[in-house]
Amino acid sequence: MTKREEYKQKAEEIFQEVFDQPELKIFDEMVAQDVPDWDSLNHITLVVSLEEEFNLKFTTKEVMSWKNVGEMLDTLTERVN
Amino acid sequence: MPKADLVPSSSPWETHKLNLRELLAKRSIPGERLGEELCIVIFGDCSTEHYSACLKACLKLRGIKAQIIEAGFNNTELELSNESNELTNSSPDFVIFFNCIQQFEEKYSLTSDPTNFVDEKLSEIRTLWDQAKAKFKAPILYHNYCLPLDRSFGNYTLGCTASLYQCAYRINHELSKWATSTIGVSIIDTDFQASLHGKVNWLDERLWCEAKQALSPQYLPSLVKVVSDAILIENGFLVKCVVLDLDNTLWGGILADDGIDGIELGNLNGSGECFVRIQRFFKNLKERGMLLAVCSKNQLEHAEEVFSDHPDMVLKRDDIVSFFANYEDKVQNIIKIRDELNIGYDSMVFLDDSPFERDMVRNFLPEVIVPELPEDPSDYLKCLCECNLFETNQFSDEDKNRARSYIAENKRKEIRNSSIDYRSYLKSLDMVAELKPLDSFSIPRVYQLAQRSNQFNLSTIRYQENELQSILEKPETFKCFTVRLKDKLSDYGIIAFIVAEVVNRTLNVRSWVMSCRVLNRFVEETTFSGITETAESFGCEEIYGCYIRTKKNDLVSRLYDKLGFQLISENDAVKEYKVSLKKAIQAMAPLPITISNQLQND
Repeated sequence: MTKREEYKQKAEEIFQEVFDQPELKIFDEMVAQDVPDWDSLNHITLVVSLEEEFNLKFTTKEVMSWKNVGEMLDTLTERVN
Repeated sequence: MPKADLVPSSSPWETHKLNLRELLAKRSIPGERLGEELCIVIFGDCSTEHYSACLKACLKLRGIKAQIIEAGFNNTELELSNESNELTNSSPDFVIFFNCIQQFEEKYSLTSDPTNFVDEKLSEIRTLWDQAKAKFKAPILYHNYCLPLDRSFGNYTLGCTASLYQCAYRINHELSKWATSTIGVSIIDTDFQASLHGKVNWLDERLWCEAKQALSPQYLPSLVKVVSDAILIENGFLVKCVVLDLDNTLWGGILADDGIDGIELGNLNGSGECFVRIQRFFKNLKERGMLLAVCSKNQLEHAEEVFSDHPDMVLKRDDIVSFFANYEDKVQNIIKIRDELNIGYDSMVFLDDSPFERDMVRNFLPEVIVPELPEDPSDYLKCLCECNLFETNQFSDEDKNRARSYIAENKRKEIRNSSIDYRSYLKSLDMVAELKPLDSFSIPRVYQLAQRSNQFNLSTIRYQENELQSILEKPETFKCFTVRLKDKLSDYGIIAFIVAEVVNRTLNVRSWVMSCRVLNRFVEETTFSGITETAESFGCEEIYGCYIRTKKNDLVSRLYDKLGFQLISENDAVKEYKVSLKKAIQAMAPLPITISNQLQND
């Protein structure tokens, strides 16, 4: 398993918890519209939870630049380590 | 993850140990056995969405259903002055103000006169309190500011009147002073919580700029936990007694193995100093009115000997109101402590280093608060601080003398056990009960009784101080009095009160509350004689009383029957009674208690 796959798996668990959907699968092209409860409140919860879990802080620029989940995972992979 | 592992073994009240997403997920748990719904209004000059969601989840975990109304972002003054909106028609049980340092900073940056700025801000807040009190008649929880990360003058910043830091500091200081002397306002110490976690992480510039988050939401579980503590104490949930283990909790090592001179205590041996500090903490708690009990697997004489003979013991035998050292299981001993002190299990904290004992108590007495203590005794105090177990909103003379009064009670029990006739024993105590109309001096104590008493409480109305104040201002409608008890061993202070109302020619007893410390002392009968006298002097022919059932007041479910009242209606929740004044007076028997009646003096 590549680092990115490993992080994706971990991120998926966090997505499931934040959106309270235990079956939720994430994919690179996924955007907010694909998840019913992805509102601004849950978005912040998601970002903060990822930061807590991976022990890092995203920059404002990074957060603003994500167009989909794939780009989010790219930043994660790049930043962890 | 270690954090996640901790959660299942810890209790529902330990919500500060959950992370943000874990706490938020609890919003959807089914709300079993949740009683009445609380309505809470939140005003904030920042985003309060996460805050509200977290508070709701936290209260739910602690057994309280809450409806939370957010007053809209940065809208406080407008909402408060607006006469016709959703808020005006709501009657909240609590009003929370969460104003943040970031907005304060913005206003500060616009002023040219920082000294005046503080005064203006303070009078603004004062007006806010007054408006909110007038409008909602509910307790106010006001968040103080998280003091900012401002080093514009380096170390000189705090001393410099012009600095943002000092301005915020002065406001926090004044607010605390005001709140202790203002009825119905409590301060939530946001700055403390921020410091506890570290402001470098608490304050998050990105989230403020992008989403007007006053703090990083990851710390909300911890912040809303202390808010829920403040809400719970207003509803009668507060810790009254700490039950302490001895070995490896108050001293290091095992007394039975190491002997009195071998246990770790005092600065001469290894980790002994940390136990001195732990004991000092509990000594202070005792001084402020917390009852301390001991529950230890040890031989009683040996355990007591440490308290009397060990030179480094900070706690003395007299500091402990209930002392159980034996080899029975701890659950049984805690039940005995509870019976001796006459308090609810949910007002007891049990501290023990042994995971086995903790688990057993949690299993058999789930209401007892059992914090997960850390491995290292040096971390105990930090853990207790994070748990915020000892929430209160006042400190009175009654608190200072509480332990002494319980110890006197134990002496009474000794006399009682040695005397054959209970009545003649009571007579030998020279009890004097003082009946006095409610006045402004007794309001704080009556408020405290209304808050703390769960068992001897006929209707469980939790009066706020301002409600008592307004009752006092209507003497033609409300007839209220207090009962104070003294005997030759101690002065209990005010231990009972009555709120009654004259309706036509009936005296309606709305509240009858008594401290369980004076059970079986004929104080009920004495109080009742005060009720009949009140009825008589206001020309009433009948007395009406009702019993409203709660989980905790079964003790008084038959009080009115015993006093000769007639049951007029009954359902699962309420029993209504009445008695004619004539009959009540006829049924009265002489009491082994001298009554000093001052009811006619008003």
